[in-house]
Amino acid sequence: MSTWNGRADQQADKTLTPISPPATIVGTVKGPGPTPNQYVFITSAPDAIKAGEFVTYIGANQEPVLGKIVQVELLDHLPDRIFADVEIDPRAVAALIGFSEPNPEIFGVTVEIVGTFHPALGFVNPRQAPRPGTKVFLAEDDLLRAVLNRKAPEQQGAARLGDLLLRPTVPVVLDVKELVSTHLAILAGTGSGKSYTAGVLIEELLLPKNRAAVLIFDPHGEYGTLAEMQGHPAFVGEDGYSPKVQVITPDRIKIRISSLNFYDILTLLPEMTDKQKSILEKAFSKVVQSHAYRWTIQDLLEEVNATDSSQDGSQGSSAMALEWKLDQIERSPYFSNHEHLAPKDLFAPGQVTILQMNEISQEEQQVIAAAILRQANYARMNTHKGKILETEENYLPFPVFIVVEEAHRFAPAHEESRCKKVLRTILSEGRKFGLGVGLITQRPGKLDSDILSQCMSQFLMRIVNPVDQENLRHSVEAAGRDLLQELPSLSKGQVIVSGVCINTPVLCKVRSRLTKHGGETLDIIGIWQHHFRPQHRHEQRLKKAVPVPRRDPQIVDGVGID
Amino acid sequence: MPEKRIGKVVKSNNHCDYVVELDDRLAVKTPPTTEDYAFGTFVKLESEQRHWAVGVIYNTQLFNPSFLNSGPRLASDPSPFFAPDLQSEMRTLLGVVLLGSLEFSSGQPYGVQGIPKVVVPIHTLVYRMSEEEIYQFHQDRSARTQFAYYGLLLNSGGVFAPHVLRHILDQVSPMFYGQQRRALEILSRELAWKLTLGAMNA
Repeated sequence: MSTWNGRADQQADKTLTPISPPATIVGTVKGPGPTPNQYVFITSAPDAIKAGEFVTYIGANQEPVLGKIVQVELLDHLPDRIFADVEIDPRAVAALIGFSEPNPEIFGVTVEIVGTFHPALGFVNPRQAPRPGTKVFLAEDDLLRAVLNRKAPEQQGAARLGDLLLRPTVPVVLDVKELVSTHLAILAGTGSGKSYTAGVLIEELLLPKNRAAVLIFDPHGEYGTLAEMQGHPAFVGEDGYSPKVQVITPDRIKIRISSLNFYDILTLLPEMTDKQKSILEKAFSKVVQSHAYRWTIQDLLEEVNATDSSQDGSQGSSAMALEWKLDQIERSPYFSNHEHLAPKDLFAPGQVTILQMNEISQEEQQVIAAAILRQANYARMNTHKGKILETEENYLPFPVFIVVEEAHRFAPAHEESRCKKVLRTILSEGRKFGLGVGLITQRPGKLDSDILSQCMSQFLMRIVNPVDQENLRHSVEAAGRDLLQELPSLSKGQVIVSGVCINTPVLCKVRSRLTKHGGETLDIIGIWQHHFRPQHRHEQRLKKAVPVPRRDPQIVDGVGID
Repeated sequence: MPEKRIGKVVKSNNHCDYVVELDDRLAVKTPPTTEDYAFGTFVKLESEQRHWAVGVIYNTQLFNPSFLNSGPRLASDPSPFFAPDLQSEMRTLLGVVLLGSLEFSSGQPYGVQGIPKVVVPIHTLVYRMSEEEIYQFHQDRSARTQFAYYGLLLNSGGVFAPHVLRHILDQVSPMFYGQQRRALEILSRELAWKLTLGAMNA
């Protein structure tokens, strides 16, 4: 955790410079490309050419200049009609008229220049297209390992998300410090594996090399399987470390009423008249002033009655209505006068706390999340500044990372929500005192764009919805337009990683989870089929069967036998 | 159809474009019939000493010095000395483009397609080729079908080049079977498109 504030790991970065000369030639440079940052090379062997593949050429300073293939164009080709006959090989026709070269087609390949790698500055663009005739090589695995990632996979502060999609031998290793301090966003359509990817990231954060303090807001109860990390051999450290997984089920979620603010309470209550709101606001400010430490619903009710009472001391009509409404909060199982989930209960290094909220109404989820986020923010900020004593429940002496699933519900784009304001505060200021947030959503278009733009690392997975794609083009520029075009064609488990956690955006295949995945789609057909299995049908008949009527008493020798 | 003499080389326009004067009844006993020197006919250029080249008739021209010369004469009985025999001055000229040559050096003759290296001398005799020879010309050293003069003919065959090619393909395709024939038919279809619907689009 010391890496969070310091810059100690820069020294380790300096070891990542050795570069071996590349080997496989894939083509020859034709000249500059359509934009100043691109060049075009010509090849007649298209087998090695894949969109997104990394290539290099030797630049002016004898250093390899890395680039990424963005487009392949067929320049010279056989006449179309030759292809119209399915029975005959077009090359046979070409040979017949005297062209017997093995590769008749010529391809023009456009490459986006990434740059030469500098250990301190990252990639530096040479701002110059290679000379025509320069040889273009396939970037070697060793080179990619050295320049794409900021860390070696086993290094402290490294998270191995998976491997390059086009090079299964090159791991994609993220910089955990940047990842958790400057916030991240996982943006992906339904069923594309976003919670799986989040699971992999959390596993990496909890490995002995990282030992993070993580809290997950889990509205669907998908992350419970992370509990398998406890006792899993892969997570055991040399010093005996093993991650702790705390699953807080909905019945154990308790938020102290005095930790809510006026607007939280307003959200929890049904529609109110302006008069009722005004009375409640007055009563709320009084109760907060008079109870410096904690207060209860009863205290608030007393203040409400005191505010809205007629001269004879009888209860006003608004106070009666408010009493009935405030009673609802008191009856809610998630809000309590005394019990509370304090930061101390939720966070510890090497521990992931999963807050399962799958049975809680959306309004209550909003208020619970807002209260917890607000308190974590307060705790981190004030502990960092030394304003909180070790004995207090808000004492939080280590950086924490909070994952918010279905983030578009907590920070929607065009409407107000309880969480939005506190999330904005955390995203803009949390970095200074080690409070990182990971937002996960399947509707990036519905997520507040200010909040999204504050997430400095992005994980983009398959998104088909054109509105969401368009939104991403504007808000996630770092990924590059060429990679964003790939969004609809990605498969499950393929992710575009961009932002500060990696040196250049890459297309990654997420590694297998060490623990089981909890967010899988139901085996619907299997369940339907199961219904008609013989033994199951027998059980159903038994359940539906009418009880056998009790036998009438019989009389034997004039004596009734019951 | 056996081989038959049809004329002799009288001129060339360039290295592979020759002008052949058609034999008439004053030059040979049995002059060639109109079918012998039809458009798209394969010819070979040979002297007694050697075989020179293979070509195809891509153009024809009738040469008539008395054209527009039929006005009234001053003398009622023209002098035979100053007015030569008009009939013998009429000529049919054939444009022949060279496509390669036949190679006889080893076993079965085969065709070497492309521009011949040698210059064919004036007065070299020109013969219509037999079907057997045409078939041999379209086979390479390893007995594979070849049609490598496709580009040469398109570029050197004048304005009618695509039509000559199509004519040749129709003539040559039936000599082959299977894949080879199919490949030739594809070329024929490509040309048919260019000459008909392609011409409409242009």
